[in-house]
Amino acid sequence: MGVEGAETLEGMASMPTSRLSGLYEEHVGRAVALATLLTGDRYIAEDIAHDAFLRVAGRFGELRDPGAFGAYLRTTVVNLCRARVRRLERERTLLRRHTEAGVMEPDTSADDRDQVWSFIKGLPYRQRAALVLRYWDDLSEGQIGEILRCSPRAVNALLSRAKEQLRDNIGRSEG
Amino acid sequence: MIDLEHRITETLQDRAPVFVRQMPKGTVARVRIRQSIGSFATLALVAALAVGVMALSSWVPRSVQPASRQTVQAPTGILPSPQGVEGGINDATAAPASDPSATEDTSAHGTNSTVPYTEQVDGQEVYLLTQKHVVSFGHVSGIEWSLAAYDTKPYSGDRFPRFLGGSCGDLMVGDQGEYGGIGFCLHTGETPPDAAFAMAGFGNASDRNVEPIIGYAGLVGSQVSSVELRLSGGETRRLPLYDAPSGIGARYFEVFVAEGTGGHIVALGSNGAELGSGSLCISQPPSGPDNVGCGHGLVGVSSVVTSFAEPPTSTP
Repeated sequence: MGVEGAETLEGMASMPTSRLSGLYEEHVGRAVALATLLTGDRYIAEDIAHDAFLRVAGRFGELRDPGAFGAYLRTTVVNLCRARVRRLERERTLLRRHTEAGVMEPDTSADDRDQVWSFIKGLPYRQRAALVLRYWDDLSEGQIGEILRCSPRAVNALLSRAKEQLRDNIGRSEG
Repeated sequence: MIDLEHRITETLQDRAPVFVRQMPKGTVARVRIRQSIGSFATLALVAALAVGVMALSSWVPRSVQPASRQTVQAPTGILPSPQGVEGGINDATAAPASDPSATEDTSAHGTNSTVPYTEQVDGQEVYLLTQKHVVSFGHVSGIEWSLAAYDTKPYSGDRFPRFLGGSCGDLMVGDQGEYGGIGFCLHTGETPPDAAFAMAGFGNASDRNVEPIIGYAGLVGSQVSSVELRLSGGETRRLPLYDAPSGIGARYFEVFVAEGTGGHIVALGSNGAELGSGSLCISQPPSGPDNVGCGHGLVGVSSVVTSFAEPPTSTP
């Protein structure tokens, strides 16, 4: 999430527009990338990242550590993505009930050239989030636990199950 | 394992988009709006908390104030007569004398808390010789009461209780008599024509918010010099006698006691001789709207009032 704490953000309420713009450019790009990896949809990810920026900047005065704007933004993105994924899952479930064929295969469309990516997208949300935060954002299990609100031990278990699932899937696909 | 983690990392980096874009127009305004909403919500929360604390603080002291800090003596055991401090929750005040020859007032009316209540009923002139004059009033458990004196003529109709004539009185409880009360006379069927002492008891337990009200009131003739409350436990207390206006040949007394109190009220002559007595005949009034009365001087019991009629409007 970029350079965390690089700027002191005190007084955002009276912050010039240029500084707010600088924060946006500094943090939102990485937020979009994170949201894309968590939702699998670039356009949804942009909406989520922008919404997260508004939320965190809007309650800047309430932040315990205004310097950690990026960390707050990351956590907000993860939470918004979870809400979005849950909603999508409910919609898919509903759609499956109303589809005559009843077929709703995991997202392995032709656009997903990378087989690993398609398997990652098929993981449960918490496993996928732990995987992304660990191997893309390079966070420790403790940091991931703070975001996902669980213990480092639970994060380790999430990562283990995710990798085991991926290993099985890759093994089956590769014969 | 290392190969798998490497593939995961490469895949994620490959799939993570590079997003470089300037802040869209309107973002600043939306941030400011969110900040304003947050500030307003905080202020509203603080205001609500302040109001809540104020409401709580106005309630808590009354409920947790230790007894030693009570500003008014709490009713315990026998309530003295006069019952505590004037204006307290248990008190008694002698009413100023008035002229019994004044014009008869037989219209029903209510009072407010500054005017002692007297029971006035339409048509009461058939047995009244004088107005009803308040001779004492006060509070019991914070509720107003009044003791009224009046003179009567014989009446035996069916509209009111039977009166043999002579001095009578009312003990009424409530700002507007809403707790009811009793009427009593010196001469009743249960007392001799030359009786020097008569008394009656009143019990009410209609209000769940206050302790049951038990009071006794009576009147004595000129031959009685003092009246004593003699409790079954041995304690004796002299009760004050309130003079009635000239024309009403009796003096009056009252006392309120706690639930379960037993004993007698005794009238004594100047030489200490016992000229009459009556027992504390109410131990525990039944809960509910029905008042109870007892005693050889009892004439009638006024019931609890649950609603008041609108006062009649005068026509020009």
